[in-house]
Amino acid sequence: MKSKLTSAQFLKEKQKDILETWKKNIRASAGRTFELMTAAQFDQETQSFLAELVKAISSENYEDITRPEYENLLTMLRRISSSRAEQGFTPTESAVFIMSLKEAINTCLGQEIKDPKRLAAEVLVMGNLTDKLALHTFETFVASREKIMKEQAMALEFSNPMIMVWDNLIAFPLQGILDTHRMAKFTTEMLDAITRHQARVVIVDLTAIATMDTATCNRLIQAINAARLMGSEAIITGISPSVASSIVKLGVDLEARTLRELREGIQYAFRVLKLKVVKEVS
Amino acid sequence: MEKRGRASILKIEDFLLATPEEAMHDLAAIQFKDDLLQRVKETKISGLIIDLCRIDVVDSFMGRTIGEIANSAALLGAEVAVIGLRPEVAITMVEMGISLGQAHPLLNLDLALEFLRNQTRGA
Amino acid sequence: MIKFPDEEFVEVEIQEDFDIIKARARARVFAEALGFGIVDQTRIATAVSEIARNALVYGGGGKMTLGTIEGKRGLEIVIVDHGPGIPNVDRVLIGNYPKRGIGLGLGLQGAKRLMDEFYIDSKPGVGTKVTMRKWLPSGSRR
Repeated sequence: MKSKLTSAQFLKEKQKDILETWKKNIRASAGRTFELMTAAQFDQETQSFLAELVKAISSENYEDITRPEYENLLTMLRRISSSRAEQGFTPTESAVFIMSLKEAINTCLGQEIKDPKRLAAEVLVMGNLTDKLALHTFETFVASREKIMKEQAMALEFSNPMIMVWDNLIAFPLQGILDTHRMAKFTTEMLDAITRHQARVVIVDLTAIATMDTATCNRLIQAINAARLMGSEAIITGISPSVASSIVKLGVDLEARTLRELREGIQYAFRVLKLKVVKEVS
Repeated sequence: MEKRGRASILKIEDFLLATPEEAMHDLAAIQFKDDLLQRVKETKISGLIIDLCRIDVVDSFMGRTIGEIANSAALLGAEVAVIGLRPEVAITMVEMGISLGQAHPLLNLDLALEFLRNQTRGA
Repeated sequence: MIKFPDEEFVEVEIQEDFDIIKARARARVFAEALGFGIVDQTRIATAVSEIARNALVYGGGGKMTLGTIEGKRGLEIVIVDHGPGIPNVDRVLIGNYPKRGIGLGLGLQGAKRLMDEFYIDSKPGVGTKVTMRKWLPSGSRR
């Protein structure tokens, strides 16, 4: 370097150039950064990050990112990384953020330092730092991704999607394990849907259900009875032979109309609703 | 329309629509029952709709009272329809084992009217 | 609408008809403030209604106490009366009703089904104490 500037001072002086090169690198990396954020957001993000980096290394600490001077930078990095995870970036796309910065810094260092030994030393120091930041980014990204996937799995585990079959006719194809939590959720979802859609008939389809124990049978009966108290008829379709035999073995009376298949349920409901399906004569 | 105690009572077609406005203490519930049955007897209406949309708790006493209204009204020639039961009240009633006796639960006013019209037509 | 977000302890006298409504309304509000959902609030209010009525009709009047338990992880309701007590309370609870006990028995059984914990302590000539508890489902504390 021309004078005996430290990396920190150098970065501060050349901040604008580095920023431009960095942004150019990201653009060239052919990721989805620009599909998923506006140009203004992108400019703001890169500018603040670089400014924060300059501030952090002004302490002349290039090694230990656990020290307080790096706190703000790491917080910013975590935020950026988590939002990348939430937005569905791939791990590579999210790594591009730091990697292209590292490239930009190296480019600038290469342009300014003529002494090869000095250049190598500076590149090593800044390289180690950006690698540590990259690892931190990656860990945050992975942790966020795992958290999101876990939440999605949990949501799916408890959700009971509803099908709006026709006016005043809804269906719940139940799936998964019908434990206490799920049955409780199903009951409130079904009854709220009855109110919301004024459903005179609700088809509860058990095709995807492999087993039913006494407790589940009783909760199902309770749900059906609650629907009845609200003036809606809940019917059961899709009981498999194995579910049927376990119900019989348990000695439980489902106290509800049961039909073999979903379509028979729909036919029954149409009769109740005084609807008819007529084939057009061409 | 009149407001007796804490319930409003409207005449719709040949029927009465009674809407308890809020939670009734036991004495008020009995009064409500007596008033309704008196009206049924006096006006010779053929159907009664009780709208429970404002009721946040139906305990065994209230359940019994509604059942008694339905039984007595039936003896006077009037069927009783119940509408507007809230989901959380329905769940609680089922878990407790409280029923509405002879009263017929219907989904809404239109269906209750349709039901009562069919009852009187048959009679 | 009265809210008791910070009160840990509520008392309601049950001496007349209207007090049953008051007791269950207070119980509902307390449950809501604690973080119970609408269905649990209704279960709690209904259980209170049943037991408070028993205290009034069979016990000659009594008192309800509402409180939080285990660091606001649950709700405890105690209803006490100094009436004649319930003979063979265990049999009543399982549905073996002595002569006049049907309404009483049904109310007790129903309330028991709605709550997580249900204890009844009744001595003929002394009175009856019913303790009921409901726990917040995990993850719903305020």
